[in-house]
Amino acid sequence: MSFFFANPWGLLGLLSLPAIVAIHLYHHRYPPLLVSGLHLWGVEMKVTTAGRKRERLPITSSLLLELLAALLISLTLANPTFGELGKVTHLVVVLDNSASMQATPPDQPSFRNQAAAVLQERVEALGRDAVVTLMTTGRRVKKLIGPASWEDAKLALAEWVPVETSHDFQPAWDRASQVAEGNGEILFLTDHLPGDHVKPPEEMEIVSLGRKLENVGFTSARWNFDTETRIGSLFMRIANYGRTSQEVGIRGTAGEQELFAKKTTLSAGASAPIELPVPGGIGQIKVELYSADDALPVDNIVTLIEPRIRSVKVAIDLPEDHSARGPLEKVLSALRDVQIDRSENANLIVGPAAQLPPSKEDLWWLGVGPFDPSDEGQASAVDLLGPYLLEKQHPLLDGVVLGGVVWGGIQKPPYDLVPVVSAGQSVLLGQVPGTSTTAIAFNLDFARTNLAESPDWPILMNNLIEQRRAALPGLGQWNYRLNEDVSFRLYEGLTDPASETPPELLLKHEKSERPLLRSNIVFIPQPEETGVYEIREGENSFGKFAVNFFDPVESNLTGLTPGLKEPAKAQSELFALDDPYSWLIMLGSFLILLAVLADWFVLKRK
Amino acid sequence: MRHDPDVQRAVNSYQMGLLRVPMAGRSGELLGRGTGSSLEFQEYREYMPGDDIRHLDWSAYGRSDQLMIRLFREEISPRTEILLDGSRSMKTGGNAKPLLAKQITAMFGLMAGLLGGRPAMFLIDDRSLLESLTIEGLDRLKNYSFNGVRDLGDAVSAGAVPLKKQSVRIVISDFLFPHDPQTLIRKLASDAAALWVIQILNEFEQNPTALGGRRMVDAETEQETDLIINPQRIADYKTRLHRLQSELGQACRRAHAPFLTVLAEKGLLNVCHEDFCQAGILRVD
Repeated sequence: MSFFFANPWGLLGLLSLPAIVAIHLYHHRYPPLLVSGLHLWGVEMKVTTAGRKRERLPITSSLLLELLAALLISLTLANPTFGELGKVTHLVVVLDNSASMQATPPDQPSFRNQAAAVLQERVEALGRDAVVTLMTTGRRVKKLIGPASWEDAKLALAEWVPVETSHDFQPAWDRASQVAEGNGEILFLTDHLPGDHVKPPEEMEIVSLGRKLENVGFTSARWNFDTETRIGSLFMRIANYGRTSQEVGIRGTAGEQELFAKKTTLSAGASAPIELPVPGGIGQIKVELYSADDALPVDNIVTLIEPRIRSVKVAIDLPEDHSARGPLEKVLSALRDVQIDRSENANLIVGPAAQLPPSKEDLWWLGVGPFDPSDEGQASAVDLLGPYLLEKQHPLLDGVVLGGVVWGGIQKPPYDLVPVVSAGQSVLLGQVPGTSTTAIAFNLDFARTNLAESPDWPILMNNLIEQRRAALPGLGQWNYRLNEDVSFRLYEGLTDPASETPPELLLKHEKSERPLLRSNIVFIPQPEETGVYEIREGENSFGKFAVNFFDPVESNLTGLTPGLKEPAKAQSELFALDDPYSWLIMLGSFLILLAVLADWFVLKRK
Repeated sequence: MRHDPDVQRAVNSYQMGLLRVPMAGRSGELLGRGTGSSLEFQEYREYMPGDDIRHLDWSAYGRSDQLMIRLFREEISPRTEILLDGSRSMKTGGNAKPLLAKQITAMFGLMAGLLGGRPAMFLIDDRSLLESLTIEGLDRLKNYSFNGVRDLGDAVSAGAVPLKKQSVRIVISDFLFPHDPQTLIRKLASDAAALWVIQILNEFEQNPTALGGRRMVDAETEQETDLIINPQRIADYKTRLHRLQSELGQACRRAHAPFLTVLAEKGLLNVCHEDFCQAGILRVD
């Protein structure tokens, strides 16, 4: 074991040793005092050679203690280091977190387990003292543990379940390079070697454990529900990603009850849609797929949550002879999940544009002209044939073109309008500012327009209804893909109706749960596990949604190959543990203090 | 030093208080200026309480009804030897100590000369055979520099001092050198008619004060050591000094020799008045 000084400049402190000797030899520490009878002062007399002026260096306790203190200080500053004591190999391991790592070859462990075994062999080869940092690839790079001992790392490794859809490895590699910079080795464990177009870090070793495997799986699934027939429909697509034809069985269950079961044959690389009716009120369906040669289980199961009916209640508060009543009743009857209701229950009120609605956060209002129904007002109104200026980004105008539409009965609005559709200086359709109500006003007289006869009319109203439906509290979607963002509206408007003592909002998944921040729109970024999630608001269930794995890239195991890519750059740096010399420094400091105190005591005694 | 004003004043004011009874050998051959115990009648004076009753003149009482005391001429030894420690330690602590030593030497020399004798003054330094200083040579004493490193005991033991029997010896030193008081005093008192031992110390030697850290240098051995002069160390020093003085006093009592310590800073006249007179070494002329 080599010995060296980590800070050799500290040895300059040794120059203090001859300085101390010189001081003791020549320096008169105290002012001289010529006395008679020195023996009476308690000093032992000694015979000196006559005429001798300079005496030998007195080896006093003070000298020895001061030399000792100086020596210790110098050595402490020089930081003596014994070879590689206190340094161990640091292995930074990047684990491919792709779902394909769960694939299991026949009669062999899964790629994930093979990776764990390779890692254990590697760490044992490095020695039991090696430290390990584990991190996983993914959209969000995660450090599982580290730097930590292998015993601790094993526990973290045991909980690793690769579930990610296809993603870029580069962020994880960059993070690993950062962590290992100058003090570690990087090992990437995956199931396929990166292509030539990818440039992994030169110092990283890549071990691929993959091999080509057969696999069938779902590529998509959704559950529709018809509120009129009260019958739901399951739409699914399955694919054979392998190189041989596969007999595939499909079985749907709701709890313990089997809803359906069927078999089909999929040729190599083929996919097939499956549509099945399911009765309403089931709530949750689990569909499983079986195949003789299937290596990846994660894409064989789909769990779907039954969609909830989110009807929009509309009240038409227009006079019976109002020109807009007919077109409105006609178009609303054609739209999905719309109920005509009374004003007090309505989510959307349609009324005369001349009378502004009360200000309420959970109220939507559609005002219909004319603003001034008097004869004078009618006389002053103008009709236009375009061109119209449409705010294309506005969701109300999605798909609306107003081609050939005569916009008749245009009057000067009695209040400000933020234009959605305008012509020149006239606002034809606009949003009313300055109110909590979402208020939209038509500057239009249906008696003088052909809008209701144009194809833009149902599109425009459907957009309005769907906007209103989307603003209703509750989940708007119940089935998601893995790594897809989830969001829902907790309450309408900006004010929490339960603001005084709001119940806690929790997201539960299997046995885990985590709190969610209460706001009008709750955002859950990319759930990372498949299965059913439940949103609980206090003691009540706010809703459930399901997350399923659909990723043709990860499901296709035919591109997996074993391989090894040696690091292009040598990586033999060692990782310094917590300074093992700290106790030496403490001991040195203690001895220095002891020597100084003893020196002081000796001088005091003199 | 003969013309030193203090010495002159002391010589004019005091005379040596020599013993009435010789310590050993034959009686003195010189008659002193004062009254003494010799057989030569000098004069009468009225009796005063405390006078020796043996000297009452009963015959004169019968004639005059007055109690009269017969006074006789003082009888002193014919030779006086003054031994002055000439070592370096005698000049420590400033000028007071060497000055007083010289003044005392000169004073006793002159006083002895006035009694009709020829005093011998020895400056004890490193010379192998010391010459005696006469009254005529007292002026050389003024410039004496106290540069000896040999202590008094060594000089006497080595026979460097030509001491004569039946002499009155006056020893002036600080006695701050390592020695055995009993041995030293016995040697000094050997064959002497009388011995006076005078220790001169300066103020710091008698009553040192706390000075803190000092490099102590012994005036004679040149040995150096760093010391913190604090109350504890001063107390230890005083204990050792008192022990030395006590042993010197005890040895002097055995030799029927007065021993006294004088403080150099007091000055010659104060020393004569307060110390020498009180000890009987001097008396008012």
